[in-house]
Amino acid sequence: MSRLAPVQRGFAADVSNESFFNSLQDFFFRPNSAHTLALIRIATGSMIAYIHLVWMLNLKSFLGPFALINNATWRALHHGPVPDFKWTYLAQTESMSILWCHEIFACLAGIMLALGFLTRAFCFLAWFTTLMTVHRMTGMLFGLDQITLMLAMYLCLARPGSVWSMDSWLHGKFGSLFLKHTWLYAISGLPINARDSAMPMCWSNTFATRLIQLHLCVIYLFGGLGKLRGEMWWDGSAMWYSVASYEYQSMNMTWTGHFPILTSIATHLTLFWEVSYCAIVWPRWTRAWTLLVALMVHGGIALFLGMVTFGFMMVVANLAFVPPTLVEHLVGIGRRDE
Amino acid sequence: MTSTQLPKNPKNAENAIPSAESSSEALSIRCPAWLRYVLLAALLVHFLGVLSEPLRFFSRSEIQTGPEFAWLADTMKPYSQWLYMNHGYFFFAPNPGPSHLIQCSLSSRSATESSEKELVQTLFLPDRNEHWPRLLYHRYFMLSEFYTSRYAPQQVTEELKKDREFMPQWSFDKEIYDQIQSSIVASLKHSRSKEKVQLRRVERLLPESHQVLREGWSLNDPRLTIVLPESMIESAATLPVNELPSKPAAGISR
Repeated sequence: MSRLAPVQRGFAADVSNESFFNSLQDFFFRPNSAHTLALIRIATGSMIAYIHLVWMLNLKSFLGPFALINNATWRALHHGPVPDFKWTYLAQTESMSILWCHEIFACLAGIMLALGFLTRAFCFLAWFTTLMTVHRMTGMLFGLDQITLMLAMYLCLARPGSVWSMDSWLHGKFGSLFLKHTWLYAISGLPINARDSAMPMCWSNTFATRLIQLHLCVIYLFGGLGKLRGEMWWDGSAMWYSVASYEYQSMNMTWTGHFPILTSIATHLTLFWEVSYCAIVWPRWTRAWTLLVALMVHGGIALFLGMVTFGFMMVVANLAFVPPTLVEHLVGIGRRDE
Repeated sequence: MTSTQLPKNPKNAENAIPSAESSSEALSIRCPAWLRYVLLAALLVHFLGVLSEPLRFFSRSEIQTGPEFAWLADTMKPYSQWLYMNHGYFFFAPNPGPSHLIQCSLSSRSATESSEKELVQTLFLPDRNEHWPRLLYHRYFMLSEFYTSRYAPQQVTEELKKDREFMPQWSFDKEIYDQIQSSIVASLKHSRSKEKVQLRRVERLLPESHQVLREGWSLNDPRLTIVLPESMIESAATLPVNELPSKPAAGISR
């Protein structure tokens, strides 16, 4: 039986035989392996590195004394008569050397997270440095930043470096070094008893996965409810107006206007899928279809609406609903094919 | 850390028991009971933080914001805002809408004295040809949308001037808008080595399908582009965007 079997059984558990609280604990804390989170870690780390790389392409325009939104304006926006709770040390300095150091370090932290080197430490650092940048970049942010930071934050709680990482490779190669310096376990996030186990299963992997899943449900629910307010999503024209936006367009899809019924069906499918995502993604028999539509919707956004990065990260976030055993199995098949 | 107990320690042995189904190699690390209670309580607070902003956002109307959601959002704001979770998740909602650009006219003082037309440079934020990769382009696109979203008219009607509630808010909004404008202008002056920069807010409307498919309009057809007014007294102009405004009031010059 697969390693995920206990978790799958948890979904289908006969609640009448257990107390609600026990089911809840089972749902959030049953130990599981980290294969799915490892994939999410690789994608999130790579995206964090890329985000900072792109900021660095024109850093003087985004940070420092001649930024498009300079520090004085940032303070007026956030610490004026109605103060808010955004805080970042990047708004306290105009030294380009410090700002460059921050961005380079954040980019490196993202790479280390993707590689799974000292994963727990670099996961926290990648999340924190990106958060600091995001707080400073008022006015230049969008969904990509929201999703990437959400994933990085939840990864900090898990042990995504216990598989497919430099940490696990180093542990296998230089296990004695880890035993000698047990603090390496703490900053890599490898369980101390990993030395007794090739594939540790940990409750924190399940906990972090659940947080990603629930957060994603909130995002889709409100995203869908927002669309319900617009008449274009009801009259079926929203898809046309989405592809007809010059600023978003990355591939000419205006030919779809010749097929109004198809664009209308696509509009309504998107609307109903998004509103009902939080319900239909949980039962096993609808989950695969829900995730397939997610792949189509976000793949479409990535390819045709110019938001490759955002579309990609939404697909990555949806991976949270793919069982770790399946991920392990699929990657295993891929490796054998190679 | 509670989750990394050594199995040899009898105190922690129950937290590191092998899973029933797993092979002899696999080892389960379980969460101590006390920590589960703490985490479930923390989870509740966390998701109140996640939900607070969308609930506040959705319960807004012209009359009021749902008082309980407003209270929740205000209470959770330090947590949700600092963790960057305070979003309404209004992706392409309620409807896909027009895009907003910033047209920047850059010139140097010597140029205005001699041959103004030749030395005036016009650029747009965002610009597909200049801003690459796509993520960089999108950053500038978001900036232009943000700039438009913070717009406050330079002048208001006589009627509104008498409104005691409106005027302090307008005055505050205008101050912020002016500051954003000055900041963008200063940045462009510095990065482009120009002495004078003029900004105009431009809106690109979405075409109807028949305009594109039957009449052959391109998505960036000038007829879809309007220059937005800077004051309530002016009206939007369907000027070709490559033309500079003749009156200073139509754009902001610094």
